Amino acid sequence: MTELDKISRRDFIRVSVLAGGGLLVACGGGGSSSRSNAPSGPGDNGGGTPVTPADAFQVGEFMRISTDNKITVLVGASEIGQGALTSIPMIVAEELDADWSQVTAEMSPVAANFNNPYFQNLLQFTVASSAIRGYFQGQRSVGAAVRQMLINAAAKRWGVEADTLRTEASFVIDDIGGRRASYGELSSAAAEEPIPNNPPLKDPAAYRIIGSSQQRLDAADKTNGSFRYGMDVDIPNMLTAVIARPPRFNGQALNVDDNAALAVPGVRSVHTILGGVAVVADDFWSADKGRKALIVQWNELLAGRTDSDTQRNAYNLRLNLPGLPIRTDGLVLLAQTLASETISADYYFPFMAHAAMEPLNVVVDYDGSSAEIWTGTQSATLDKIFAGLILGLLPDQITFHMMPSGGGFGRRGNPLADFVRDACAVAKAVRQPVKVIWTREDDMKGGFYRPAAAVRVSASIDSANNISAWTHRSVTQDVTALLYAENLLDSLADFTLPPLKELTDFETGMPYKIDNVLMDAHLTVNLAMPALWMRSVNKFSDVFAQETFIDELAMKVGKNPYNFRRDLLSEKPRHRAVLDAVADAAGWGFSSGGISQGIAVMGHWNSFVAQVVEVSVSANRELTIHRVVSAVDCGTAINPDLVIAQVESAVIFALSSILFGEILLEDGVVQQSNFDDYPVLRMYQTPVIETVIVNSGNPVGGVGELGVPCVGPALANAIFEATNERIRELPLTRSNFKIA
Amino acid sequence: MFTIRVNGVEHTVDASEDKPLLWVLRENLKLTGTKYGCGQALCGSCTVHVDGQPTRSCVMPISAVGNKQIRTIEDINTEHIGSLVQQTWQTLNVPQCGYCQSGQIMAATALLKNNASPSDQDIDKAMSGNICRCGTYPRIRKAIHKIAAEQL
Amino acid sequence: MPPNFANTIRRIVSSSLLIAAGLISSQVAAQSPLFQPLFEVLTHPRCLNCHTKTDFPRQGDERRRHAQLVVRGEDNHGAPTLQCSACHQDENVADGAVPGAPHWALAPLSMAWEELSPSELCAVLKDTSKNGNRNLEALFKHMSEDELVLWGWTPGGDRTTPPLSQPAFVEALRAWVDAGGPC
Repeated sequence: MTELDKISRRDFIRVSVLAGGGLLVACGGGGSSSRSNAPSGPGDNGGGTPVTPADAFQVGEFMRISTDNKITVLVGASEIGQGALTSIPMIVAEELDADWSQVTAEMSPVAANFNNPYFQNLLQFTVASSAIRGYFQGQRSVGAAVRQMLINAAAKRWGVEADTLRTEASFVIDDIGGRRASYGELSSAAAEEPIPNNPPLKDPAAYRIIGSSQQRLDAADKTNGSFRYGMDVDIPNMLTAVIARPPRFNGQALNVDDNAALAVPGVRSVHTILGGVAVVADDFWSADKGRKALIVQWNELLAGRTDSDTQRNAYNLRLNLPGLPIRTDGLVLLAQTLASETISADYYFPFMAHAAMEPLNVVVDYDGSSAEIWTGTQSATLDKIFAGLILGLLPDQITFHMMPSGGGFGRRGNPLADFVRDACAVAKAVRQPVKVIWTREDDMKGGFYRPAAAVRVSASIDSANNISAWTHRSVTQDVTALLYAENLLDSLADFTLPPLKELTDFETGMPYKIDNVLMDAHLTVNLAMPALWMRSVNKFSDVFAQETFIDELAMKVGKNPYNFRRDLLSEKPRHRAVLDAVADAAGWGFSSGGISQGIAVMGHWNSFVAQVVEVSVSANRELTIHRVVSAVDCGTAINPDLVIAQVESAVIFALSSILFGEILLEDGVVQQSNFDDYPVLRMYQTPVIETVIVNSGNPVGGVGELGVPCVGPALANAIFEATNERIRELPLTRSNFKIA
Repeated sequence: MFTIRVNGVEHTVDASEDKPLLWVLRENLKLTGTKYGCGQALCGSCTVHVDGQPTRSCVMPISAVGNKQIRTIEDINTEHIGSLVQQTWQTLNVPQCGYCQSGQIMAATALLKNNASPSDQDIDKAMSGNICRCGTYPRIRKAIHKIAAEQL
Repeated sequence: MPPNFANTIRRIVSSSLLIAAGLISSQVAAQSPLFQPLFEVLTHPRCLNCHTKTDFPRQGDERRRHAQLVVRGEDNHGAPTLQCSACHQDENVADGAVPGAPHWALAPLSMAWEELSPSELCAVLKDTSKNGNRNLEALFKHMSEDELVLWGWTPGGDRTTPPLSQPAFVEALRAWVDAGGPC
């Protein structure tokens, strides 16, 4: 039982009258400070009155209802494009019975009160498709409690029983008395009401906001240039810095000749930090020119020498050795012995870069005794802790602004806070507000890639032509190893490591009815090769192997890949439902005109997806991807249009990876630098994308990554249909395929 | 010192002659709606209109601007089609992270000003210089068609 | 170095290059040895990538199709709203990553040189109905002075340059023009 669970609802929500009228709902407060994930210090006064300006944010303001009936919801999850700033307020507004047109959203401060329940309330951490799954229940309870308080206030005002009143669109309505009062009018009085312990939650059948395709709340600002990202933060006296980083990971600056750099007009200073050499200037252009003029000799004694080709050979060798078992059903060895045939296939997947559109950047204003930090991040809590370590400040002395991000895909959810640590080191040297900007090249070469992976899958077929055994072995880098090895963390007494099991979960949820299953994994540790999760993590590679190999088995036993899967999913109704739905929506088996189809299915993040890809292949190996059809079951879709947008997004993200995605290392040096040598999908290469939502009414599932893993195998299966060639490695450019 | 005309207003800026227009807009003029994405004219995030033509401001030195009229995302609503593009982008939930959308909107506005009923091929040719990592291309295409079909 | 000496050296170098070029490319050798060095230059990727016969330009020494779906357009300056000038300035920028020169554009289709034999290319080059109505002297002026042509020798980045140096090219061109433009 987590600590949060022990805290009563009464403590969880704190309500007060806003200065000047209105209602302020805060979660946390009271005994909540004990839940702080940060080391306690003298500045931590138990969540009461603020002692420092930074402390004011710790109060954890959650929602404001102002007297003019406007409602503002503060969102603890990061807005990285997935629509957290819209869908999370929709959940609150639903139970509150709010007038959605009067609801706005803001990013929350970084405070324990806003931690993601999915990570046991330890962190604000927006990874693993966990925002809706994590925050759903709590947001409903808060909305329902405040609604009840508004009703109670109205009942008092009118002298009637609360249960004779109802609510609709931010009004409490007395049908008998023929009167109504807005939430705004009632807000001050409602703040004096006791907080209900177990406010009733709506029957899902009564939802009117959840399940509706509302326009994004940030849509207007994201179309007129006014939406502010970390890159756009501008504060008085702010300098701009870029960092010259070593050509090989973990290299250290040995000798720095900064004469030419300092001679560049606008350059103020040059500082050697742990991560490299920072050039600080009045503006970006001067800083960048200064960096080009730097002459740095690097100490490469401890530098990484990862080489893509060498590593591939090593991984392939390890495929022959047993790994750490992660799933064992039945007796695989026996089944293999009894089988009439066992076939296997090896797969390889390269390093890939996230390449979010907004390159990494951090603004730090540090004056020696306190700091203010702005950055687009998926991991604000850990960022703030590391900032405190670098700057020698207590959490209370740091005001951390979690900015919306121009894309994340996992890169901004680095538990090691690499970009924040670098920026704090620069700020500590400069003692003046400074914005550290990563250029695209810095971002592309900066590491923390999706790790390369080798996978071997085998299946045994018995005399009755049934699949009697299945094995799946992965070799890849443990993306959390760096975190645990990092000695910086040693100084974090009391700090509990985030529960990362879900993130390094190598179980693909292989759904097929096969009695004997062995899945094992080799998690390699390479401290000089920074790797990190990237949208759908290991599912990208593991599901690729699983879902292309299942197709091979179907061919082997002479069955249609759709029917073969369907038969093996007799005990998996949700897999089967999306598989049937996509077959139906895509017209499975009815393609013509040289178009080939491929199909794949999977379940993860409490959600399910099946996809059909349609492709044609020309004689000179040019691929034309015509259409990608997806069927998704995410339990309950809070905002169906945003679910569809996430699937569209995932399909395009996956196609970029499958077609071109490859970071190559030669003797430790990354070979790619920008979108010319690391291409991503463009408009003219984008297929028609159709998505159907299978409404299962189940609890909410994750959506952000769901659309990624099946695109690759479905495309590979379609290419096989067209060419009789099996794809065993990515990207497809390695097999000399081009995209038309 | 350079005097440039941005969104109908003359600005005199103190910048080195090779400083790209992008950084002059963002840093000197505080017009941060135009975004830095690649610095090499590869992604289109920095697209502005130069005498009406979509141009990558990240590779245009301030010294090359001269008397040309610059228009940025902050002012595109003053053009009828620019305003339509913004509204339709909102209606169809086009933006996700939104970072590339200033560039996409500038490119789409120029396309629709030039061509009131663009074909899919016209859209491909006009919009393929603008990268979106969130994958909003299908909705961008849909929005352009919708504006052309219903409002032009 | 006295200029006449330098000129002598240049002449020796260019004539030896001329001979060497003639030897290595016997398969596509021009009939006139005076055109051969010009052919070597004109078919170098720096020139040929924008003298395409396709409706798009090419990039790099491997002559891949220009990224971003860049097209020729009706006036050889790109799509109506994705013009060459959207990215290409009057000079190389971004440390040479983005090449540039004045009036950056594709050559008209009439001046498409891809896959032409030396004698075909020579004929196309001289054909006033195809070359913008330029006689030999006008061709000389264009090919020795035009800033977009000159860019071929200062292409920026790590781009390769044509097999003859620019002065050697001008000399070879002069010799060819003086000889009446033999093909």
